[in-house]
Amino acid sequence: MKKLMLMTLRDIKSNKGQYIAIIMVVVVGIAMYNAISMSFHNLNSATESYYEEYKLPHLFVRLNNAPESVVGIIGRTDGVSSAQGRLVLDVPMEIPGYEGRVHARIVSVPRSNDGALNKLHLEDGRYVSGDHRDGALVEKLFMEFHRLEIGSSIYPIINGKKVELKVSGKAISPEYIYAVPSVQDMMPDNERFTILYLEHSFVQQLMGYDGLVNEVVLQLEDEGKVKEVKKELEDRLKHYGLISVTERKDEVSYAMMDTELNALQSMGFAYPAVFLLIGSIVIYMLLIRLVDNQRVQIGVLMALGFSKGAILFHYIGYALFVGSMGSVLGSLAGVRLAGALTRYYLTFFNIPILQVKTYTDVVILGILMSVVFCGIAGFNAAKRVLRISPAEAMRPVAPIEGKKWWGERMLPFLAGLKISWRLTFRNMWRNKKRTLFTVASIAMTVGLMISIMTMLDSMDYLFDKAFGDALSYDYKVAFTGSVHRDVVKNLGEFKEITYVEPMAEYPVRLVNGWRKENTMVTGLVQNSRVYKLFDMKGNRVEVPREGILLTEGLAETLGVKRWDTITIEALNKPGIERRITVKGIVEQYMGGSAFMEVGALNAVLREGSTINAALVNLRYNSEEFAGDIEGMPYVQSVKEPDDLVKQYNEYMGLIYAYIGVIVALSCIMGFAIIYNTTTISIMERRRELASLRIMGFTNNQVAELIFNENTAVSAMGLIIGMPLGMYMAAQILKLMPEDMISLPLVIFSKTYVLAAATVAMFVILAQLANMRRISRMDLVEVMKSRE
Amino acid sequence: MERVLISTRDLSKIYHMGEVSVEALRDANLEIYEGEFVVILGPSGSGKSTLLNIIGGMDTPTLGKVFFRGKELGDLDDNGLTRYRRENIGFIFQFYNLLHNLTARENVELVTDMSSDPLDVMEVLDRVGLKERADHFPSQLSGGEQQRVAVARAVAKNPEMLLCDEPTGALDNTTGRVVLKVLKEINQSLGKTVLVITHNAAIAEMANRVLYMSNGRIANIRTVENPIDPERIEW
Repeated sequence: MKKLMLMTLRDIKSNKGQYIAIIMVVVVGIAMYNAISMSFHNLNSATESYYEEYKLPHLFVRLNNAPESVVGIIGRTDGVSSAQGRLVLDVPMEIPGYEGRVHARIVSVPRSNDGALNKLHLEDGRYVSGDHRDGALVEKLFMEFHRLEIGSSIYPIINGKKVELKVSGKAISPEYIYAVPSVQDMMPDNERFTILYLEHSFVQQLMGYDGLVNEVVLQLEDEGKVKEVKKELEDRLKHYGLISVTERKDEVSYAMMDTELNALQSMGFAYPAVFLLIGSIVIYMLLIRLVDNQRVQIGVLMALGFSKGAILFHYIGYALFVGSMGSVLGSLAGVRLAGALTRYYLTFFNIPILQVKTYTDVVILGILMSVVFCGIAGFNAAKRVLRISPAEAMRPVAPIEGKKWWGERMLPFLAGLKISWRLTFRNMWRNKKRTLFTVASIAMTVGLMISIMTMLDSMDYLFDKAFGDALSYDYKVAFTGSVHRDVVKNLGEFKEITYVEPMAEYPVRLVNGWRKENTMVTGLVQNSRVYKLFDMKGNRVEVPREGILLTEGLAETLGVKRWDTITIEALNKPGIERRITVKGIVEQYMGGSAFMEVGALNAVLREGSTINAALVNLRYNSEEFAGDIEGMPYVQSVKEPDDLVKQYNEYMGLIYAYIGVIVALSCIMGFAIIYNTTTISIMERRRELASLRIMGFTNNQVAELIFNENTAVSAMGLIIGMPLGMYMAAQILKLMPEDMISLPLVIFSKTYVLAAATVAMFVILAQLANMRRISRMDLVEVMKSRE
Repeated sequence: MERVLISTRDLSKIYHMGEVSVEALRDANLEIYEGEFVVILGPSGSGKSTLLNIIGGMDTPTLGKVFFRGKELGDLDDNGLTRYRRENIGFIFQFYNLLHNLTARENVELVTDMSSDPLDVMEVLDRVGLKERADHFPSQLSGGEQQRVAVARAVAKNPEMLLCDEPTGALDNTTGRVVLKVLKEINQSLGKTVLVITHNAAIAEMANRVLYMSNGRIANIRTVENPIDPERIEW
């Protein structure tokens, strides 16, 4: 047995190129699996224990200013274990040395941090109590972005007045792991949005809201009863100006983190599986060739008295070698990558507790998976050993039967091809299984690549569409609350403003039977000049005088089509609900996913003649003027439509990194596939190729015969891989949450070209690497041996 | 017919196999004339294949020189040797070495496609008696027929010389004779020089000249006064 093992190792050594290529594929698969799974576990356990230790509330109650006594009422409700009142207000803020305005959210916190809900984690500085009662704790990533220090001054504008506050500490809260102001803002913007944690009574004093709260957060005795408690509170608080009761899973940061974790978990499985699958296909093909080539040797071993089992195991050993080498190296690489990937994630998420751990179970499972995958492939290839009888094995193999394949009979043009191409297709047809496997592997590789490159196309398309045709306003001015529509007229009086148009956005719940979705409805004027909607065919659509327009994604979630009726409920005014007709399906660009005429929206939600935003165009696109408007008392923020793009581009770093990694890994895989099938074809046809060389074929002409096959197989893989990639992309898009962004599935022709070029590149590289096998073929030696 | 096609001067080939060196060919000097039918006879290991391989541009000598029409082969690089083989030499092997996936006709066409001055494929197949079987695949042909396809393949590119390494080695004597007849016919009607190596002494009698080799040396060269018809060869 030891000698058999020695044979295995020597065989592998003399064909190291091939084995290294397959091992690389396994290494990549297992490294990805370890890195992604461990990052998932790291992040998941970190967030869970963070939520637990820092007491993330189970429910968030939002009220129009209510007396502080409401906290007691809520706290005494059945099932509530603790409740905490607070004030949460969005204000503009200035900071020295920064031109623009910052959108600051003031969140009041209790006098003592210990035992508080949403307990703050202080990275630096002191808590806001005692001497520091009038200080501000500022969100960590924002401080780091603006290089703020403890003691720096910041200037929030409260009730139209600039107030100086000193930074007393750098803090993070479990409520803002993913620091965005609302669902509409997809990406954390550490430049223009931050959270200020101020002492509760100090905020009351600052705002002139003595004895009032506008939010109560609470934890439950039993998290399972969250629905009941929520219902109870909704009933009880009707007369306290209740806006909404939200579960933690519907809070932006929590939901975002959840989505991210889910995506990570599914990716941690899907991508490595593709790599392992392809790795085992390649081993399978390699071993089939090996067993066929070593028939005589197998016969000799049998004649010497080795059992079939031992010989079978000897051949499976090659696969197990690949599986174990690949998985051990892959695990080593994966564990290191996991640390880096986890840390990279943490630049987007504020989590104080983080242990980068090595999960032995993940490592073991990875090694097991790899060994099992490879072992099965090995067994399937090696089992043909069992069919060999020793006497038969030592006789030469029956000559290969040549024949024309049906393609040549059915399609005359195939029969008219150059001989080298006819030969190529006949060979492919003869080795149907191998051709099929190779095509499938290339298709998967291409699919993987396209699925990820399509993401970029979709985003490009989205931005082009949104900022080319759809959104042509210079700024969106958001007001601090609902204002009368006439405010638009006031804005129009500025000579810098050339055009202004009212707009409203309200949070609602849309219900169709058991399907419901919380979202924002955007109210627009008819014939808007700066916010245009298009149907799925690209034709302009107007908001109807009555009824609602939904984006395709939202319509799908709700299971509705045009002319269906749904229920719309105001989220900020419990009890208001109306039936409404879906008048059309529109394309989505960003943010909004339901649209109505602003007057109709007001009528439905009983808002009177109010709006909460305006879209403006300026004579000159002056940031200075934008800053001036931002200073106006009822203005909360002024945003350019392409602010979103800027934020997006920051986040794109992560996406580009993914795309780069996946494309690079796909190339390794594609290379390994082509390299191995090429090697196999050359080995199998050594004699044929050598005789051609002797007859005067040049190395290149001989190589052409082999490479034609690669070209044909790769072209087929490419053709199948493209729709496969689209399908995979569609699956990935489904992982993205609906109201964040719904990406249209778009693929530009340049992506096809790029994918084809990438395939061509690895095919050429793999062939060049094999060219030596042809040019160094010892003609005399090959001809001496009998077939 | 006295123009020299191939001449060799003090040709030696030494193979180094690890610690041992084997002198496969020693000081071989010979001249082959245009249109000649030459048989090289010798037991296995006598150096006849080595000599054939060097003349055919498949192998290079350790010492000595080979001239083809006065041009030295040693001056040619790998590409030059490939061109030499393509334009001037037709090889015929003991085990035919046809491409299984190509029909008889396609096997021949594969070679004529890259030749500068090929013969008509069907005419050549007719000459070897396989016109009717042109569209058969090798697996549908007998050994003798396969060898005749190999001959057609070698001839069709219109080379100066055919080099045959045990062309009848895998055939019974009836089919072997047919192959030899075809070779002779090509030698006579097309004027191609034919060099056959074999250990079968009976074949020698059909040649113009016979070279006897042993232990890497050309032991003797004999001119055959009246070459016999291949039909009459018995073995």
